[in-house]
Amino acid sequence: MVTRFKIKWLGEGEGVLSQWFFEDGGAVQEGDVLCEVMQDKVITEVSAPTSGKLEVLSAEDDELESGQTLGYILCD
Amino acid sequence: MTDNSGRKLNMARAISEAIAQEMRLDANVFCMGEDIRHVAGIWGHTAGLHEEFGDERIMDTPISEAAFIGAGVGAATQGMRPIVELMFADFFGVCMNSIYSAAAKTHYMSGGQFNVPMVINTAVGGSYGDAGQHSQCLYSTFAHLPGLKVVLPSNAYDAKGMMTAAIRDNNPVVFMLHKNLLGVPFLGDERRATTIVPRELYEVPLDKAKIVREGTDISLISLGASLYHCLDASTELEREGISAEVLDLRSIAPLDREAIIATVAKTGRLVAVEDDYKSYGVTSEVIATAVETDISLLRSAPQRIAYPDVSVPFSRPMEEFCLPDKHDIVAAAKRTF
Amino acid sequence: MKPDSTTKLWMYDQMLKSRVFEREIEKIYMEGKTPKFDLAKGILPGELHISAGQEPCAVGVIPHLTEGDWVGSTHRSHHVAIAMGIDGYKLTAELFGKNTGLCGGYGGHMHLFDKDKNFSTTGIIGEGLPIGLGAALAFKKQGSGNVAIAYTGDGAVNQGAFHETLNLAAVWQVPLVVIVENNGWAVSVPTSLSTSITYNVARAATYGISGALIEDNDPYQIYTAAHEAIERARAGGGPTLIEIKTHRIEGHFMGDAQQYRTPDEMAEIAEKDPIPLFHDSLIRDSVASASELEQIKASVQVEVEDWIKFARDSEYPAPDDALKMVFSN
Repeated sequence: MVTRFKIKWLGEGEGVLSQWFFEDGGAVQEGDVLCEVMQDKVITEVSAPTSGKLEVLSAEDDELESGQTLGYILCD
Repeated sequence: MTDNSGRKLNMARAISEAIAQEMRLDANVFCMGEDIRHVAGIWGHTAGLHEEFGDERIMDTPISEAAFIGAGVGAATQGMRPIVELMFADFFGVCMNSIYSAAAKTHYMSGGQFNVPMVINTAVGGSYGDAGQHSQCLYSTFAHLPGLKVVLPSNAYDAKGMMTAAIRDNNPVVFMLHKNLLGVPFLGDERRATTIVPRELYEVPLDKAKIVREGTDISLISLGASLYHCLDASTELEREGISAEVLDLRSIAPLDREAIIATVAKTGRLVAVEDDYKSYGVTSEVIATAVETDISLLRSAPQRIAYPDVSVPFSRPMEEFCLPDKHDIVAAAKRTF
Repeated sequence: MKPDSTTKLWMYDQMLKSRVFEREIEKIYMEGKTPKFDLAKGILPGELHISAGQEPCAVGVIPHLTEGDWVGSTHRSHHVAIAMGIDGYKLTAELFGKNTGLCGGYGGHMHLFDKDKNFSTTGIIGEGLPIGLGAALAFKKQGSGNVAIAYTGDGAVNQGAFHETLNLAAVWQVPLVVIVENNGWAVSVPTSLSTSITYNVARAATYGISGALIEDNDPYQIYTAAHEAIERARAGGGPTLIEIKTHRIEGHFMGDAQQYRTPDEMAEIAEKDPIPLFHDSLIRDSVASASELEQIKASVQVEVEDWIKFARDSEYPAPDDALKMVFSN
């Protein structure tokens, strides 16, 4: 059975997804930095809570609202 | 190069990963510098190291470059492998003796008895308004002095491999971090510097240039941030029917002269590009290399694009005027036809 | 703590050997350089800095060293090198620029290195201080119990590197002993013009480290102070600054006529020459007889002359050896 972990932008207020470090379908390990979100000049790294296969939802340069889903990690 | 996960890193993270992996293997490796603990080294290239390795091996220093870089030399002669940081290359004035005399000359003057296996990390490059004392490149200033290896990777993959090689090298290596390419967004946003980086340890040699785009009509030879302007220029030149070959030098000293001659022999035309001051620089050395053996390799006068011989101005229109970009490179390329 | 008789005799032997060496080397240095003094000419090219008068600064310290300790000296280093027991043949050959020299001819008089003794010198004022700091840092990390001894002069104490080193040695609490050989002159500039305080040992307190002052070039007082400092360092008690008021008998470099020093001062220096004084004290204290000391003098002369012969007879390096040694493999 495949579990899908939601990857969310949990910062307060809006941000911009500045860069993905994996392609859609990439194999991620727990702790890997998945992407960076920029708020003003502060960079926040979004890390993988678990290992698995990445499903990308938001694109680079997308403006994000707090709580927005950026993608999923699928694991067996 | 194996793409074993499709995992990308920015250059800063690639460097910290290389340092961490080497520090796990070799207890003699340690880091010294200003703000390398909690601020992760200003540029992010020591991220995670203090958490893993602690106070003894990740040492925050006072603003005493002459002392702690000279101390790196002393420790290196006694079996340690220090990675010390000169935060901005511009600051070399306060400590150049420790670098170009103590570090660079010890092996030679001692007749090979002592060697200095030390990495000196230092950040270079401008374009973001940091003005005359915080924006310089100084490639040839360091490369000119015998006894130092000087490298400038252009992307994350090369950076990790070259940092590993630099730590393992038994000589002093000045490892230049181009601020526009590290992945710190407020310092420049060259996304192409972020690449897939293998998780395992690997080395990239410290004396080899790399062809990053093959072509037949003209050679664009460059390094660091200017490399990407060359790639942009080659896209434009392609539209006009000119096929440009782009060579990433990667290493300033030793310079891969064979690679320079090989590409010029292939295309017959040369534009050398850098963002350091023009006179007495890397582009001068590239051109000298191309012409001094066999001038018949070249079908036309070689061109160089570099920063003018002026201190870096603060005001944006002035700074932009000085910085080489793809338009300068395209124009120079056309002059060779 | 005073040295025992064996050590006292050793001190005399080493000081005399150093002085005889300097006197012989001075003569050879001038070969080919007269009537017009030309640094490039003669069998010993370049500069030469004679350590005559400063011998106690070496013999008071070196007996406390153990294997692996690091010693850094300056452009004026022969007395330290000899007291450390560095091979006199290789030392002399290096001054001659021969391939049998300590550094194969690559360093010369101002850049003497001996890996076996962990001995380094530098021609840049103050450069050895940060390097010594680094050696001490390495010893602390390695837990070896070794110490680093960094010699420097009264001309270096106003360099940034001196202050940075003392501060950082104190912050890191490393086993470093800095020894200031204060001969009162930085080339022709006296300390009264260069330094805001009379004795640099006062600076130790401002960096929170121990200090010791020896005011009269006395080998026994130097021996005592060095012992305390080195034991402190080995025990993890951190750095010490030792200042020795010593005497530079000759000019800064060979060829320096010292016209900036008064005849009165030169007469005073001659009276305070440490070697005749030590000679007399050994007899007074019944450590040795006059004839025993004469025997030491004779054997020292023979030994030094043998070093010189070896150096003269040795080969030069091949000219294109100059292109090697830039990098280690």
